[in-house]
Amino acid sequence: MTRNVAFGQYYPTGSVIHRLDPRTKLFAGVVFIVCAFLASSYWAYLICYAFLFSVVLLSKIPPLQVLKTVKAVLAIVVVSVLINLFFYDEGTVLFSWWKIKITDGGLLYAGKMVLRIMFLVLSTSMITLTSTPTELTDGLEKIMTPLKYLRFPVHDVAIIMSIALRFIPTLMEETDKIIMAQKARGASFDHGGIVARAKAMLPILIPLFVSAFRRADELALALDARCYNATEARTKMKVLRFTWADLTAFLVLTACLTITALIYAGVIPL
Amino acid sequence: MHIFKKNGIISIMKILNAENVSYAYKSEEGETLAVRNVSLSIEQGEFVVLLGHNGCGKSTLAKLLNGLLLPTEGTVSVYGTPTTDPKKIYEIRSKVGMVFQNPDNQTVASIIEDDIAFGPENLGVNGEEISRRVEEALEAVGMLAYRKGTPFKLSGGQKQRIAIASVLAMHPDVLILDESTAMLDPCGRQEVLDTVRHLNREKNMAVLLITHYMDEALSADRILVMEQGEIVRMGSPKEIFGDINLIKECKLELPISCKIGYALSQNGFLTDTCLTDEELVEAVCRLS
Amino acid sequence: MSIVIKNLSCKYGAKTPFEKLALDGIDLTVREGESVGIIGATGSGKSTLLQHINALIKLQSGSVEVCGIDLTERKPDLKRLRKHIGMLFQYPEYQLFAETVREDVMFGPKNFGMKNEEAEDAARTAIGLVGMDWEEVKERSPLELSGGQKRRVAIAGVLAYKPDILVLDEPTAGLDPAGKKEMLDLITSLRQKTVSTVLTVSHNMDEIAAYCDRVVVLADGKKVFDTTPQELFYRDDLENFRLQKPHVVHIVELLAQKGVVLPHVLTEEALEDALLTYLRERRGK
Repeated sequence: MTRNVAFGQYYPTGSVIHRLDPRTKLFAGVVFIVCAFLASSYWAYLICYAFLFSVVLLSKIPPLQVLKTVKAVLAIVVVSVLINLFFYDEGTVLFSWWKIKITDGGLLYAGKMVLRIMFLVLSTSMITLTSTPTELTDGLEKIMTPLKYLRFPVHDVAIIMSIALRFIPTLMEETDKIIMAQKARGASFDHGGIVARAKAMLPILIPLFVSAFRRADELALALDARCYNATEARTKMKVLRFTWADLTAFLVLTACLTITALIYAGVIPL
Repeated sequence: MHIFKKNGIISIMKILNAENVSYAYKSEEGETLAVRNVSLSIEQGEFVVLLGHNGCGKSTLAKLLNGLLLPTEGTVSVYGTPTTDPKKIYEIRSKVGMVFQNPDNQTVASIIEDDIAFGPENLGVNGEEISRRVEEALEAVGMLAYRKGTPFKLSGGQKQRIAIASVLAMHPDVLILDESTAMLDPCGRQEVLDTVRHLNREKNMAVLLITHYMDEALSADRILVMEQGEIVRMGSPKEIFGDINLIKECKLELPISCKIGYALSQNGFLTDTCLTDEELVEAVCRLS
Repeated sequence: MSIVIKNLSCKYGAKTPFEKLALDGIDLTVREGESVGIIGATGSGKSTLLQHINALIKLQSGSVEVCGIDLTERKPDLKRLRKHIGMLFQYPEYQLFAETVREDVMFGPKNFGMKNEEAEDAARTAIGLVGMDWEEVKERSPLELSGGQKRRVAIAGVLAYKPDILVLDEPTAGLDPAGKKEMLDLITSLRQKTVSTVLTVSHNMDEIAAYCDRVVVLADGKKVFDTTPQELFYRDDLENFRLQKPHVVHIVELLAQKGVVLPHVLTEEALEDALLTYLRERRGK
């Protein structure tokens, strides 16, 4: 029962994109998300996807590897296509049966929906594929630095995020083991109504929580033993550096954002 | 080596010294004394093994030695500084490195080199130096090739070697392994032991190995035996494993070669204690 | 009450670059009353094999038949299958969840359809079998017991539904010498009293040599040996499969190299006897 944890795993190639400052990549993430929601015409999507495709090429990650990340959200894509297809009723009716009507407008809208979700997933996975969790948390920590003056524990939050990411696969593996152990004792998780099913989850959830707490206890000791919080003047092995490449990326991203916004506002008639 | 000359007397300085240390856990039902009146010291380059059955207080003692717990009575000091000194506690923890039992619960980062860097980053070491230390630490445990990898995919033995490296990056003088081999398969256990012995012999790292595997104690310089919170005996492997009553009382076990050697001596064939398989075989050959 | 496995293969991550053949054409029959050890390096397919016996992973190719239930059928009766098998995973104490020991041990029996009273009787008997006092522990939380006690409760939780075959994955992992000895004694006594058929996966060769009648060796998903412990552990090619020899065998072989030839024994007691006999004979001469 090995699960597919391919979604967003770091894929090192040492490319220009990998070497960008994580802050730049986080900015890119925001731009991508905004673009995905602003893009309203197929032309806008064409621009977005062309941009994304060039980023993929620059990153030297095999495009198929990037495409695979969509697998994790395939169900969401299918459901949203079906919903849009069946319940969008503007335009000429192409096909109708009982209460269901498929219109050309629905078809177009569903197509855009697919493009939008795929773009969201692909672009955000590009960030996680090209940066390590540590880089991303370091980046976030830097961005949040001003909050320090409001006594917000910026560094602790960064560590919490880093540890959470680190323990996801461990806890997933643990869940599989517990499920198997309880199944062997005759437990079944797919019978009965909602209440019965929720109750059937307890033999999984309780051991999982107990184990998570035990791990947290041990980890806390390990953090202390490695001098966590020893000094305010904590250093970093990898110092974040804003380079010319980052500046270029920033300019390109801003341009991309502006164009999409202008298309959205109708200033550029596409 | 830290050698002091005082009034013409040369003494090798102890890294770590515990004097009459006791520790009580407080709970609703009152206090339970987990460590009672323990005194011990560890010197530069020594290999010390602490034996004792589950629940005898080994882990509590380990946590007292680097100030993760503070003694209820007595003092633990590292290079003369007591662990109760809040200003020096991090210096103490960086000198007394500790590796724990569960290989999965000691890594903080998803990338190995980031995990190794965590300690020195906390200590405020500068970036280039950290990078150098990461390389040196991974080299010392033979895991340099995995620098950019993720710890999740490693075997148990490899994960523990990473845990050792992450401690080495703080440049400790003594390494405490708190049952760090207990959850490993025989190959993983061997890997970790080989790594620790290498550090001890080649880098003069003092080691305190806490374990309930008797065979791991055979090559120790000294063995400490713990029972009900007390250190009931301290001696060479020959002395400890030669005392069958002690082993029984403390719910320990003789290594197989010792056990068989003991049976032979009971029947009047041997007089010496045989520690290793080789010693036993040699003794038998001499007899025949 | 036997297990018959024929030509079993299993692939992980099919059609991806990470495709791995976890099991490759395994044939294995375990007859009633046998104690079979399964050994092999980490990643050799032992766990995958165990999971197939209890239908915890989907059968891909080959056939598995357990106590007359054929897993190649379209809808095999999984409840009935799992009731036949008492499966204990590594560190089984981590599966305890109920508020009291009583409820936890009754979980299995109730899942397999026993009524409350019947389940409680079964739980009481099982707790007795693992050497604990029912009255003393029944209302206690499993979480506040010691490590060794927790493992006993977990074993009781499996024994309570009266399985016919016991499957153990590293039963002594993480225990101290005293705990290990207790566990081995417990398994031996269970074999005599309740469940005669036992399948054990272990890295500890001393343990396998001590109580298994037969040993199966897996390497890269293939079965490479299926023989008696005597035969297996005195082979000279075990290192090729990244397997260590039991300590006793190591000593006997060292002695043989020096000209002291003893019978091929496996346990400490047997080695002790063999050595004493040998030395006495020598002295007699």
